[in-house]
Amino acid sequence: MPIAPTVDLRNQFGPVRDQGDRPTCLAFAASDAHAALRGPWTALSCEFAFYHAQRRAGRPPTKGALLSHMLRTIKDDGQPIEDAWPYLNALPADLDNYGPPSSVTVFRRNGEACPKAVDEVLAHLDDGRPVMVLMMISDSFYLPAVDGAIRAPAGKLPDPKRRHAVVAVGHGIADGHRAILIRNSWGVGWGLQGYGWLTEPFLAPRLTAVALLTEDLDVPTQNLAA
Amino acid sequence: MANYVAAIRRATLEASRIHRDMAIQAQVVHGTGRIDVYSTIARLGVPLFFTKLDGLLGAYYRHPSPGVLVTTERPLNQQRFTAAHELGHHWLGHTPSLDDEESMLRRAPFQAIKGDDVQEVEAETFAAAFLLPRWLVDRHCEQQEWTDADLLDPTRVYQLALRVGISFKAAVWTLARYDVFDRKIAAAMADIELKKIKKQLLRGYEPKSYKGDVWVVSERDAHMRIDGGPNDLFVVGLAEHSGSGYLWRIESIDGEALAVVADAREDIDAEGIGGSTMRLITTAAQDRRLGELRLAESRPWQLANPRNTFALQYNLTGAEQQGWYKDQRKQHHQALLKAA
Repeated sequence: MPIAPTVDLRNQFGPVRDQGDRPTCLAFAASDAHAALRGPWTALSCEFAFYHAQRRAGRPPTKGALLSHMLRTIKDDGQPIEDAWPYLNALPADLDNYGPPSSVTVFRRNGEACPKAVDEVLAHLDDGRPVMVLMMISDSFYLPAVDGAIRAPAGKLPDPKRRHAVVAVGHGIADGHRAILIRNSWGVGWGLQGYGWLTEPFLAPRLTAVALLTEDLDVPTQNLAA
Repeated sequence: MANYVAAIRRATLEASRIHRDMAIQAQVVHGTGRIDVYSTIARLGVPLFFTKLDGLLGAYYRHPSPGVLVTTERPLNQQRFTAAHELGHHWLGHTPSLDDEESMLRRAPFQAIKGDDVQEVEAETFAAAFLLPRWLVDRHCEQQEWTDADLLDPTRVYQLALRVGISFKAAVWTLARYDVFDRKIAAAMADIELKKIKKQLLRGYEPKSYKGDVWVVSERDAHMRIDGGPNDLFVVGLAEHSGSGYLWRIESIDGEALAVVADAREDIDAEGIGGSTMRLITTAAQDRRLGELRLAESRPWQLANPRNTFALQYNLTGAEQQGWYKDQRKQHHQALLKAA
């Protein structure tokens, strides 16, 4: 039986995207939350956001990003629309050739980390705002049930080594528990056309951070930091 | 001492010569990565017989025609070293030799000991240089992306020893001879209990016994063949794109040959969100079998499209059993009957 959403922000988003095998989930979560807040939907360049977040953190593009640097990037570097620097399915063999276009129009938005709690996520969703959710994932996350639910695996502890970021876009009730509807970045083949329901027993012990993009900072500006 | 130095030099040169004369280097570098001492003996037309030898590891005889005997009572790598020692006697034109455990082990540290027979020193040096020439060290270091400095880590020397098919101690002393590290370091390393190294490599998994070897295998070993024993353990460590939805799963395993005894993950990067992790799948041998272990890294909802695959061939039959080496039985049995 389908899980009925109490709040559903999916109509603020375009089709679910696919990060491929790159460690860019956080850039997708931030970019998609950002694009949804701008509305109407125009996908933003997560390649641009990922590139700058890694550069700020001094981390290579072969590794995952850090939340603080991603929020700073969206605030200070901004990001252009997807077409300005489309997502790369694979990094260039020579990383010297990896860099953004020389001049693009970017959009900036403030952001903040919020208290790490399911209540916090629900409250922002009730206000109509998508939320970035960072968590540990377990095997059950990879194959949601037919109803899209990801349930807590019996007897298995959270795995702190597997970390992932998604966007919370709604909530409802599943199996009598609160559940959060998430938008993943693993393509439309995952879950329900790329969306899934995180039941509270799954999410609560695995939630590692919650973040929100807030006010639009300025009118579009030129970013020359190639 | 002068005799000792000359013996070392001669044996080392002769080991190089046999590699060259029998085109061994090209076969090994592009092949399994270990030197097949038994086939070398066979190619020289020397009968090779494995049998239970009372108090002996091996023997070399010249009459009625040259031949080599190797004990069945020792593990695979010790059999290989004994065979290489006996090959040394043959190649170097030595007189017949009966090689017991005491005399061979006494020479294992590759040191000159007063009273050592020069012939035995030569055979022992030949064995080490034959089974682990410098170019073979380089071949494995290149494959594993190790520098000489990395070989200061005893776990790496142990993995090198397994891949080339010699004992840990023989590998340690041979590397010291190549100046990879000095003799003081070699002495300390050779004293390390193998169980300690195996424990470290098993990362918390405790087998019933530490008798078997522990092979740590990675993507750098793709398509390698493991020649091991029936108690061996494999720790297969593969980068898993778990933050992108990909998981390694075992595609093919012969349950009668191997059992998965541990399955874990380690951080590659402790900070980032969504990066790869190191998947560690440990298997324990169940029987003396040959086979293949195959894994695929795919998204569980798209199993037909793996982003990566990994295969490992194994031969866990272990030490050679009683009998002639391969097809030598017909060839030499009749010759010996005639001679008798």
